[in-house]
Amino acid sequence: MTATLRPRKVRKGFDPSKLAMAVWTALVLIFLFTPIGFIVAHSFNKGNSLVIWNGLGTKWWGSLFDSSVTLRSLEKIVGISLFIYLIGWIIERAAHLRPRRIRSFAGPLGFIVAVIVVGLQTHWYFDLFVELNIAPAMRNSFTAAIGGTILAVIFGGLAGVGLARTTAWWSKAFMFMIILILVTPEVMDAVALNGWFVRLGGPFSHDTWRLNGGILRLWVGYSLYTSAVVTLIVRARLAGLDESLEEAAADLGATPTRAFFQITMPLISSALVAGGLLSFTLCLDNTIIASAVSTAGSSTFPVYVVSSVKGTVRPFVAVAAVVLFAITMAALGFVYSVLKRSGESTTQIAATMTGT
Amino acid sequence: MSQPDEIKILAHDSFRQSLSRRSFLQMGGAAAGMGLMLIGCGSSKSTTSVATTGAPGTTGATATTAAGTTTTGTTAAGTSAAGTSAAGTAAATTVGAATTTAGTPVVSAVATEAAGSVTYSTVVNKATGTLAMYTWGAYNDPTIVGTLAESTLGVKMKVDYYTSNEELIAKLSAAKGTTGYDIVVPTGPYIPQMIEKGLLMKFDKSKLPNMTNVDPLYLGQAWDTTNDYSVCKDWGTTGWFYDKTVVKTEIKTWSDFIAACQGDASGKCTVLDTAANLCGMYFWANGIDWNTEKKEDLDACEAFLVDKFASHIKAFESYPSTKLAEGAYSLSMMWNGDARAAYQDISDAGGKVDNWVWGVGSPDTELWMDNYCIAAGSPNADAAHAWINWLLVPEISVKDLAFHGYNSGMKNIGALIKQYQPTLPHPEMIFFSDAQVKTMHTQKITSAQDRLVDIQNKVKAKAGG
Amino acid sequence: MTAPAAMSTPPAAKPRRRWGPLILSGPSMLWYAAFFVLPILWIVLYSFGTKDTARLPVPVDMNHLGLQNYRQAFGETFFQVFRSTIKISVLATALCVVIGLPVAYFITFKVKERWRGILLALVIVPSFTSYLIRTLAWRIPLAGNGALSKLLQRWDVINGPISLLDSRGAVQLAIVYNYVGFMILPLYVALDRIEGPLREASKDLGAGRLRTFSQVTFPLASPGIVAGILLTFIPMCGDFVTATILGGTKGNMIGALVESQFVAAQNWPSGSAMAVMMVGAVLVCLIVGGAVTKVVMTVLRARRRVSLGSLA
Repeated sequence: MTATLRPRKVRKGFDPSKLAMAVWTALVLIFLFTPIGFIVAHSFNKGNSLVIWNGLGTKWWGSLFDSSVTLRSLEKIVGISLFIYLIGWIIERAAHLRPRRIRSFAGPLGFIVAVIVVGLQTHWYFDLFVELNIAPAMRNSFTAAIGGTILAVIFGGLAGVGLARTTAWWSKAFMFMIILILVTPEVMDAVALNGWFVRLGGPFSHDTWRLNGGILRLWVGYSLYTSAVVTLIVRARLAGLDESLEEAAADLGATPTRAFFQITMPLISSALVAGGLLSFTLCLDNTIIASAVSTAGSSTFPVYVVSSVKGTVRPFVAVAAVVLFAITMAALGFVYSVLKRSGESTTQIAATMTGT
Repeated sequence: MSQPDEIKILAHDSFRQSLSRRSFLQMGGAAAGMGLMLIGCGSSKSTTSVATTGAPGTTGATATTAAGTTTTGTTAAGTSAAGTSAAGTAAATTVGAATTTAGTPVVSAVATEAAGSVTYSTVVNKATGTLAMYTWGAYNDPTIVGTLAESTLGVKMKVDYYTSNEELIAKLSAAKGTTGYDIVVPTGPYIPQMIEKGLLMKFDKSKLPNMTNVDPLYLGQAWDTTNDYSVCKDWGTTGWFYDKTVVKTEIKTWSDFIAACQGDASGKCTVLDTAANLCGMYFWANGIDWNTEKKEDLDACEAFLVDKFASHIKAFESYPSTKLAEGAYSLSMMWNGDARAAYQDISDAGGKVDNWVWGVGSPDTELWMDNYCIAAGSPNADAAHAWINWLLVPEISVKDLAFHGYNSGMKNIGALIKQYQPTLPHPEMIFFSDAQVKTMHTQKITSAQDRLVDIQNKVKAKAGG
Repeated sequence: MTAPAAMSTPPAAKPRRRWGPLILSGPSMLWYAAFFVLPILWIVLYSFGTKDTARLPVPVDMNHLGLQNYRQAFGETFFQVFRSTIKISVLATALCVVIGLPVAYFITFKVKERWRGILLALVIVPSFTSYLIRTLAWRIPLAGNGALSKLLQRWDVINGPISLLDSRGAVQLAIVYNYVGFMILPLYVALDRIEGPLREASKDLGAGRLRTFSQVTFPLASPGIVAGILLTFIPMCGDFVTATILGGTKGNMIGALVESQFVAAQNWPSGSAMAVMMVGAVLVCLIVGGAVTKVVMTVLRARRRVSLGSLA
């Protein structure tokens, strides 16, 4: 039993297994970043093919940044962001608030306002990707992903709360259905949905109220898998929390609606944000459903890439991917900081993001 | 009975925290993030409206005047005879340079230039709005579907790509004529079923005066004898392309090709990813009609391809050019334009171009022709006509040809090439001798189609096993 | 609030609590019924029909129902492709566990809290570039004239250029690459939930590092492993894009076969039959895998119990 004291000391010192695992982890991380490195490198390819290196050149980035519109827009965005940040700083100083209280919000807020203002003013984001007809594909990707995410958050959020708060017989059947959605291979969903949309027709094949039928198909198609994911995340989040809170609210006379919005919503908000983010990236990346159901004017960026894979993939695709990556990372960082601020631990964030 | 304070009192600490306004700020933040994305992608309708208002002469821009039609009509009569004789070698045509000025409402240029024995019509009609084309990958010069179309015609192009005629038909029929595509580019034999299913719109030929520029040899094909629905975009053939340092014996026939696949290039060869070409290779090598419907032919084909051939194939590739340059394959069954592009890709990648040999399929091979058609329910048929007509202007047609490397079927194309693209590389891969053309056959869609796909699937399964 | 009032609430609350969840789940149920259950039911129906391209927009003749599509799909082709799909998926899943487990373990137990977040972020970040582009990027180093081939030639490992593309190895590599992140995260979450004291206790009781891992940590992490396997194996079975980009003939996965039936052959009935069989086969694989795991676990647990009993 003398061993009881020993282990800690040993672990404090040299630990070969820890070193081995650290090396392994480093190798895995290098592995994970290898293709990304190649993409970034080859976006500076002078040649006409993404894959074949033909010397260093900024030709393809040039087609993105040469446009004076883009430069002017960037200037404006930076200017407006700084302006709003400055106002935040002045208010903070004037009101003697805790340091960084307002500024920490003013930064992102300024950026968002700037993007919105500049976006309304010009169509720089459209001009950005005019090259190779990539602009409509990028726009469709975002439109479809946002719609899919909103649907997923609404349906998944409601169902997640419902499932966490009952043990009735139907809840098991419903859970089974959700698991079934998660385990059905995407191809199956894709072909089934395509046939179904064709059969339904109506808004799915005609543009209704200026809404492209293909985009509507993508929204519906994306929302199935993602809402199942959100349901699980929300359910997991609530499962660990005491139901008595809502009961207490009810006891105190709050209507169910009121209890839902004042108690349940704040509880699940972080799960909704995480689920929404996960959905968003899943939607943005979706290829199989998108290529099956999309119609004219609703092909997304992955569909574009898939079709160009059959021929020559231009380095501009890499440029677009890097830009897309930057945008996604910005959104991700934003959500992460929101989660962090609400006091979630790394584990909780990871847990909510994977739905476990 | 609403007392939020009391709720707070009952709630424990951690819960009270999450109840705070911060949670709502989070939601707001998320919403703002989404808003950011929304702004980031903008809306199609706003950009469309910009394009619409931006282009001059919105109304009647594409209407051809009666005078214009008659002019070109007479030209057509005059040239069809001259074209068939094809005597004029150096027809010094002064076409092109469409004298269009922005804001000209009606026909902007009716120029029919006659020089020597060949006359070309170079009408360019203005149009507005967006034009959606559904076509094969990398099949048009990027400027012709981009900036040049916008500056010359006033249309914003939107291009999507498909990889097989079946995919095109599936997409079009699935939407019952509401796909939103204006121009589609099917291969000839698929046109009759598309007409039958009502997937194509009849041309308004008065808006296509430049159709007279097409060599009559390529008009009135079996699938559309009156060209009411289609006009030739370009045509090409199938052959092989190999690295002679790997494939030591020269490939002269499809039998040699098969032997090379099974021999020197085993595990390094590719075939086109279409059932007709895969089976065609066997039929051509064995002197069987490509369009055979006989069960014994198909059975023999399946037996050979699955048992003797499949295991040697490295990939099913319709456009192997880039991957050849990557060094992935040594022998490929290819379409001529893609093989021509492969030379460029190989030299770009620093490979040895001299090691690579192209050959047209023999004793028999394919002749395919892709055609511009207008999809039924086209939202902007005026622009579609204007664009197709513009592509039939010799200068534009040749510019496009230089990009994709397929014969675009203009009258007296040799002279046009000399005039506009005198340094065009590898012309022998674009233009073929009469003797070669005689060995080329057009595919027919027969009852054997399903069987061919089935054979292809079996070969793929075997090759992957 | 008086006591009687509080007492009177529960009966009123009860029906609400029974209906509330159902009302909340209702929209989802209807949504899934409309866009998941019904479409798939139609696919099942189509699988009994016959091809008729004259019918638009759905080229299926439903007047002559029969099992012919299943008979046809049950042929060698389907199983050949399915076998290679399963081979790739199972190996890739196993590799993901083998690669991911040490990483998750390291992040959970061996680094400080501050580093944990950074490492996890680094694991997730690559998944936020387009999946297709990442896959495509593998062509760059793997190509015959690519970086790896040139490097090996410089080191005189090989003589001529080698092409690693269009081989099963390339597909295997890219699939492992694309899914390993989805394995590490659930593993991390599962490991993180194991309480430190439990492992300490094991060590205090004299168990070695390996023994602690195999008898305490691993069993407790098994839910995470199961979640990880579900999150990776099933999408892998349906994945055919990776194989199309990198696999050549060796990348003929079952998803591609189904898709080619719908698109290239316009044969919806045959494609539907294959899709139904694919889902069935994947489920069978999972059930068999689950059953085997359960049996092994039961046997192991039984053995342990005996040894404990003998000790007592």
